[in-house]
Amino acid sequence: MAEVQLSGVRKRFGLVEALRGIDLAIPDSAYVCLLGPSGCGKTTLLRCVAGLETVDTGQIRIGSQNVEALEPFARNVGLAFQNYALYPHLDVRGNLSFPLRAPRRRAEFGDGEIEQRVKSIATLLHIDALLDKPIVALSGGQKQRVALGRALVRNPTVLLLDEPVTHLDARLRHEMRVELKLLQRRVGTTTIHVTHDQLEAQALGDLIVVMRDGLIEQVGTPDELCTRPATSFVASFVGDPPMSLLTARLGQEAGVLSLRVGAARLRPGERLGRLLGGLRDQDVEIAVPAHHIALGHAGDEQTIAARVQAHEWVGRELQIVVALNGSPVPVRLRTQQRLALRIGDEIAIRLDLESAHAFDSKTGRRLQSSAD
Amino acid sequence: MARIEFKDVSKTYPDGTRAIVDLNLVVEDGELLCLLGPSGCGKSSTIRVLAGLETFSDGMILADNNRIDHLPPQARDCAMIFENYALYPHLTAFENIAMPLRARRLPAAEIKARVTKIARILRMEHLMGRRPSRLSGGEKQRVGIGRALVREPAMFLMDEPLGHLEAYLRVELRAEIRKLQERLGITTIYVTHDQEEAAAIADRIVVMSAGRLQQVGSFLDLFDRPVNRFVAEFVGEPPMVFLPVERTNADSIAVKGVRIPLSEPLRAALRTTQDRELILGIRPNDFSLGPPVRDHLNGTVTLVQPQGDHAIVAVSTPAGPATAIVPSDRRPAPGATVGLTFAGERLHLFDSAARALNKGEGDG
Repeated sequence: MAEVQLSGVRKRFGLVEALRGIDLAIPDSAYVCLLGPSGCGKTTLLRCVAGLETVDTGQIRIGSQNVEALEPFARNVGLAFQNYALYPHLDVRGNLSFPLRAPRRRAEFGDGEIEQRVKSIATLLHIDALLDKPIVALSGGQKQRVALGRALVRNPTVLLLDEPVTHLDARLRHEMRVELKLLQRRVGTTTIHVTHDQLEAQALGDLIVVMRDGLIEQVGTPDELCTRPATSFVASFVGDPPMSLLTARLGQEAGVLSLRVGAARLRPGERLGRLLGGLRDQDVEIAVPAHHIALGHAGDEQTIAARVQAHEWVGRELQIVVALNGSPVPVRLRTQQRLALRIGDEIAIRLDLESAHAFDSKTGRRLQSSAD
Repeated sequence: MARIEFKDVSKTYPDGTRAIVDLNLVVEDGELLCLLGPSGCGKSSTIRVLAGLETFSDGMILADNNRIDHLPPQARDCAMIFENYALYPHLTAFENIAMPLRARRLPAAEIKARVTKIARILRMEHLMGRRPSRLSGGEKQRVGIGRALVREPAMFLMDEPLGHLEAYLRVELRAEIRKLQERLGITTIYVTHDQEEAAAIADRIVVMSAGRLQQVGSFLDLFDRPVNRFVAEFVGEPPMVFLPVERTNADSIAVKGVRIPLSEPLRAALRTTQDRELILGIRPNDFSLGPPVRDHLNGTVTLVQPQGDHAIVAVSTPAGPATAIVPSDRRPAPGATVGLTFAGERLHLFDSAARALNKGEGDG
């Protein structure tokens, strides 16, 4: 168990700068999720901590030790990947004991201790009945448990997970998420988990690190990301479904602040109005949580005309994705109403801006009042 | 366009494995129907026998009331799309799409017009000159769809067409497939193991298991009125919670001694059976968590998973583990003791043969 500190970490692959200066402090025993779209640098960052990639510049500390120059095995990290990377010619026991029998470790563990460690990790992961089974005989969920067990068997200082549950089916994914988190709570190992799935990050992370283009956009608890997204990018990435982004033109009508979105004019409401009060004739980005967007009637106040792009059931709710006139960014909402929609239908949506977030349209940074 | 009917279709492999068992199913003209189930449930076999890629043992298949199962595959007028798009690597995207038309020896001008139209619908006019090696996974799959589409077939059969693509591409392409299908109105059968995909794309969903059709219905039918425990468990995320119950008398039940209020239709269904090994099913959305109350079902919160405006809460109860979805501002802390209550009209009861007692009841 240890804290992990990265400072000024950069990494370039040819012309591509995968990491462009990463500063990050991960507290001891924390479960941290690295979240971002493909190509944001999250996997590269994980691989740098593991020692599978060397950093160009910058420092990585695990506990009190600088590790940038250490070989992977000397960093004492446990790794589990999306594709398990198990040894197909070994059985479950062989895979679990592998890190303890690795050539460089030969002197370290006796057979008795290896067997005892394998048994205890297998029991922890509910795979003790499978120890003599070949890998090919296992289901996806069982393979993922073996991969986790192999990562944990040598009591690593840090556990590194790369999309460990992404490709499991819905039911198993849900089960494995719960197990992962409970397991981490029990063993207390500092954990870094890479995912592109914001719901997974929110479900598991004590802290979430949102990354984009090789940089960190925001570090925060799941609640912080939802209630105070630092950038419009973060806002468009969190929530179930994620918040919708609108570009609005600020204006005045009879001395009252208005937001022009396409042909519609919206009143910003008290809180947002205060936030935008000092600004004139410029664009702002507004992020609206999905449950503050509802179906409306064309022509009513606070409504915008929209065209249906997709409609699908999520549990008992209908999720509707619409496009607004002149905006390339889709808007998502959910409703309990049972509508027979077709793609291309014209509908009207009503926006409640009281809990919306506002961002500078140029920098994407959050606009906030001093009281915020 | 076609209305497709499976009548008592069975397929048994020489080793005795029953891939399809007595399938009776009507796919309406212009409908998009999903076959949903775990691997090995018979969903792929079903469209493969329809396409004529595999034979079957018993029954018949009709298209617009005409038997087609004796016809060779090319005469059945179905276009199939697979997970691996099987493009010709030495041909451009244009030529790949044109292939079925060239095989029919259509005039060059007509081929050009039809391929161009398809390319426009799929928004890939700029890719027509490229070979597959210069296309991304999503683009290749679009070319695959284009090649199936260009024939203007009577039906579309899609076997996990998006299975191997990245998550964001899957979401984008499935919306495109749905749009295309709505526009063209071609009868489509879409095979998937992913319930989210099925819910997003289908008019109706067929849930299959072990070669048997379990239930046909809209996503909401499956979610709120599952006919058996398999469907109840397979559909819905996080999964339905199951708790063993005791029968206290003819029409009432208890969980670990706590009486469970039931709706009238459920009580009526209960009176019709003597079964004593019943299982109660509750959707995580249908739990409410409050302070613990004596003589109620109480439990300890083991894990809280925030999800934006709601949270998934795992609770350990004397009857077994339970999962509840609660609004974020009312989520309890891990370790807290909570009381669980649930909406009586939303409950499900399953008998010892895993059949729902209240099958088709309620308007949930």
